[in-house]
Amino acid sequence: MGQLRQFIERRSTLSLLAVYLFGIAVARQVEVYAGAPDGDGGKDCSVRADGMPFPESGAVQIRDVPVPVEDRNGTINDASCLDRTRVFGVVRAQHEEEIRAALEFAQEEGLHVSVAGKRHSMGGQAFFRDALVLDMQDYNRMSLDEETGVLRVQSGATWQEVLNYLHPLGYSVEAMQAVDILTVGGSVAVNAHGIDHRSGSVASSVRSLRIMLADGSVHEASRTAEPELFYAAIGGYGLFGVILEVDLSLTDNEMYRFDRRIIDTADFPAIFANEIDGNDSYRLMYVHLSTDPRTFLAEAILYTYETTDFDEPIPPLRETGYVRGARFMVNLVKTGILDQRLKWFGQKHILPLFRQCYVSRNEALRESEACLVSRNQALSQSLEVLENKLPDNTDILQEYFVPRQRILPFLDSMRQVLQNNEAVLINASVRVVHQEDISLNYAKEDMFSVVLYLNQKVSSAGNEKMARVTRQLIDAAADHGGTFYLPYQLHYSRAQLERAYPEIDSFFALKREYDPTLTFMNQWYDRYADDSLTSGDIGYLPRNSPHSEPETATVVFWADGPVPHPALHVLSTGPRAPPATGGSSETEA
Amino acid sequence: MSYSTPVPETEGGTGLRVRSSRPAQLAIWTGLTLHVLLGVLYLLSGLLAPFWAVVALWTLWTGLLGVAIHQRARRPILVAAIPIVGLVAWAVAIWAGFALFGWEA
Repeated sequence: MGQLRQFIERRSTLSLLAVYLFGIAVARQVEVYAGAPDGDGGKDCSVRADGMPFPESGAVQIRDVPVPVEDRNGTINDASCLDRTRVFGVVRAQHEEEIRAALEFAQEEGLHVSVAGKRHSMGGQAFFRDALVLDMQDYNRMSLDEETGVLRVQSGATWQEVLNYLHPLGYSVEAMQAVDILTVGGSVAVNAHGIDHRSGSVASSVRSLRIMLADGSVHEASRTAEPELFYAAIGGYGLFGVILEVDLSLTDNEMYRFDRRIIDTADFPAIFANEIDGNDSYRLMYVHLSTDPRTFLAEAILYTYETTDFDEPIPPLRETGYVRGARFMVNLVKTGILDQRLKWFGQKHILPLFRQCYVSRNEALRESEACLVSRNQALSQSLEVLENKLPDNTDILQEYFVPRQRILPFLDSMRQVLQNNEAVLINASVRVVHQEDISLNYAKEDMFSVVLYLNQKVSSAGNEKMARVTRQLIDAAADHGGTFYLPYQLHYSRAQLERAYPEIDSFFALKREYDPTLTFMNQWYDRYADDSLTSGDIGYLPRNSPHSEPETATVVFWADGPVPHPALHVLSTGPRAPPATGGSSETEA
Repeated sequence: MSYSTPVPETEGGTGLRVRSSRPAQLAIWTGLTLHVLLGVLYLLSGLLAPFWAVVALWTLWTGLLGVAIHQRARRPILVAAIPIVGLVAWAVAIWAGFALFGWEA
C-alpha cells in the first residue's frame, strides 16, 4: 500500500512538473508574440535573407577620430532588419560643430557619410557600407516663435517630442507622418505624409531648412532663398547635406470629434469627393482596407476627425494602451495562427471598445457615443503594436500613389497581385497627398496613396516573393498613372524607377552638383545612380535579379571595402551590370 | 509525504474517485476545473506583465494546483477555494505590477 501511495505521489509530482514546464513554454511563446524587440535599436533578424554570413567588422582602421564614434567597425540595420551593413562607425551628434567635425574628418579620410534618424527606411537609405553614420537622434532641441507661429526644430527630434513640446502651448503641427516615433529630419528627407488630408506631405509645412553641405557650409534654404537646394533636400534622402534645422508651420491644437464608419471601398472616392474634400470641418482622415479574404480591399473603415465646439481645457496627451495585447493578436494573424477574418472582425467591432476618447461632461450629456480627441492625441500614434520580436519573419512597408480617379481600378490590380502571390497583408490604408513641387516628386498631381504593411519570412524564398510582389505592384501603379514610394526596399529595377520618376537622372545630377565628392552616400543612390561605387550590388538582393541581364550581372557581397576581411565572400566580380530593361515583371520574374 | 488520516484508495490509483460525498466531489471537480481555467488567465498574463513576472505567477499557479491535488481527499472545500485564492493573488500581483513597476497593458 505504501508503494502504491509513493507511486501516486511521484506521478502527481511529475505531472505537476510537466504542467509547470508546459506553462513556461506557453508563457515564453506569449512573450515572443506580445513583447517588444529587445534594446533600443529594434529587431535585428537572426538570419540574413540571402543566406550569406553577416558582414564582419574590422574593415577600416583609423586611429585619431576627432568626434566620439560608437560602434566602430560595427554593423547597422534598418527597420526591415534585412539590411545589416558594416559601417565605419556612428557619430551621435548633439551640436552643429560635431557634425561639421565629422564631415571634415570623413572628407580627410575618404569616408562616405550617411545621415540617419530612426532608420525606418527599408532600403539602406540611411547608411552605406563602411560609411560614417551621423545619427541625429540626440540633435533634438526646438523653439517656438509665438509671433509667427513657426517651430524651429533640430532634425533629430521625433514627432513625439515635437507634439509633447507643442501640446501644452496649444499648438500642433500642420503635417507629419502617421506615426510619431520618426524624426523630423527623416520625414523631411523622404517627404513623408500622414493623416491630415488637407495638408498632404510634410513639404507643405516646411518654411525653411538649415542644411550643412559636404564642405561644412551652412545654407538657409526656403522657397525663396536657394529654392533649388530647398526642393532637392526635401525628399532628397540625405544626399545633399545634413538637414540641421527645420522651420515648421503650426496650427492650433483643437479637439476633434472622432468618427468611424464601415463602407464599401467602391464608395470611398465619392464619399471623399462629396463630403470630405473641401469641407473645412473635416481635419484628419484615413481609411483602413479590409484584410479579410472575403472582402479583401473591398470593404473599408473610414476614420474621420471633425471640428467641434469644445470649449474646455484640452486634456493632456495619453500614451497608447493595450499595446501588448494588440501586438499579440497581430502577430497571431501574421503567423497564420489566427485567421485574417478574425482580425478584420476585431478591427471593425472590438477595437472601437478600446478607443481612447476624451468625453467631456457636457458632451457626455448630449451624445453618449461622442468620442472627442485632441489633434495632437490623434497624431500621437506609435508603431509599438507593429514592432515585434518574432525571430523568423519581418514586416515590410510599401506605398503606392495613384491619381484619385484611378484608385478603384488600382485596388483591383493590387488585390490580384497580393492574392496571386499569397502575400500576408497586415494592414492597408488609404491616405491623401497633393501635387508636389519638390525635385524628386512622387505626386505629380493630387493622388491617393495606398500604404501596405506586409509580412515576409526572413529567408531567400520570402525575399524573392516580396521582390516579385513589389515589382508587380509597381507595374500596376504605373499602369494606372501612379508612382511608388522610394524609402522602401530596393526590389525595383532602374527602368521602373525611371518610369515612376522621369526626373531621376536630373535629380542625381543635381546631387553631384551639390556634392561632387559624393560625401553623402547611401545604398539607394549607389544602386540606382550612374556613378555607382559598388556596381550597385550592396545588400541582400544581388543586381542580377530578374530585372538585370544575367550574363553581365555582377554579384559582389561586401567584397570591395577598403580593407576586405578574410571572411567576406566574393562570389564574382566584374563590370557593372547595365541598367535593367524594365517592362512587365510578370514576364521577367 | 505522510497523511494524518488514511487516504481512501481508489481502483485506478488516480485518487479522484474517492468514496466521498457528492458535495465533496462537486467541490473538488469545480475547484480543479476553475483552477485550470484560471491557468489560461495566468498564461496570458504576458499581455500585461513581463516574462519574469509570468514565470513567478505560473509558479504560484502550479503550487496552488499541487495544494489542490494534495488536499483533495482531506479538504475538498479548500480545493474549491483554490481558484478564488488564485484569482485574488493574480489581481493583486497585476495591480502591484502596474502600480509599483510601471507595467503597461
